[in-house]
Amino acid sequence: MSVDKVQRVPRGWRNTPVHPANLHVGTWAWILHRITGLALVGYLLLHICVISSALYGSGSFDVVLGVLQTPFFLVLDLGLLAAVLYHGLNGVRILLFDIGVGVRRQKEIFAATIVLSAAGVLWGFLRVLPEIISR
Amino acid sequence: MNRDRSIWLWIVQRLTAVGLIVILATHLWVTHFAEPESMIVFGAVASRLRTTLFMVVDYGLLGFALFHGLNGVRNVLLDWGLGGWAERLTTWAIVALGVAAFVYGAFGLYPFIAAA
Ligand code: HEM
Repeated sequence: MSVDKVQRVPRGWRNTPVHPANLHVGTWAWILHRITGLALVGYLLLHICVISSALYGSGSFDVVLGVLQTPFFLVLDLGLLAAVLYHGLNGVRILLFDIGVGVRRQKEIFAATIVLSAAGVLWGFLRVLPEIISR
Repeated sequence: MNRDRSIWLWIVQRLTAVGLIVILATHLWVTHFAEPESMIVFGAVASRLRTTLFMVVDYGLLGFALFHGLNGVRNVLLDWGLGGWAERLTTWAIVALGVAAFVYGAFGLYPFIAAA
């Protein structure tokens, strides 16, 4: 047998299963679920500290919340809304798969979670826009 | 972690997920969407927290979100293949963080309730 008949194994990161172009829809859904879940935990710990500013007097609470309702933080809130919506909707998708619903419709259901999340963020954006402009 | 306890954590992760959908939706709706023009100020939060319903919603959210979120963080950490003492250390660090955050958060809500 001549050497050139041996199939060459493709090399390089591009050809590994972990290259972004080779990931499956379910893997993307899982990565996003993980990132948003961890981000939400970070937010939750900050949120507990923010609300607990009331321990230093109702005035402190109002000062802190006044800052957090400025346009800059309202825009950041949209990121929070995106994370909550995606994680929650994809969570429902996971729960449905656990009871055997929709497994064959993986891709469509993932697309639906993305579209619904985007729609929710757009709606939130339209809601905070007047606040941002008026201040 | 022995199998018995892992399956319980898996089940509780799902039960808290379902609970969070309801509690989180209520929380977000009331604080941000029901009256979009109103600012969040101490007095408004205090008048809400005087009702039993919102004590249940807010303390429930604190407990459910901390449990679900920190159990999730633990799952992510254990995915690195930790075992033995490293796993036990992770578990206890997560439990300590959860208890501390719950106690601090529970005290943090108290001024609103006491403001009656
Ligand atoms: C809207 C309600 C929510 C739903 C329906 C939901 C659903 C889920 C489900 C089903 C899982 C398990 C994934 C698995 O085992 O494969 C999970 C994991 C997780 N959740 Fe949530 N969740 C919600 C809210 C939250 C909140 C508020 C936080 C943060 C405090 C959070 C943080 C996490 C984390 C860190 C994980 C672990 C991620 C991983 O293992 O990759 N979730 N969620």
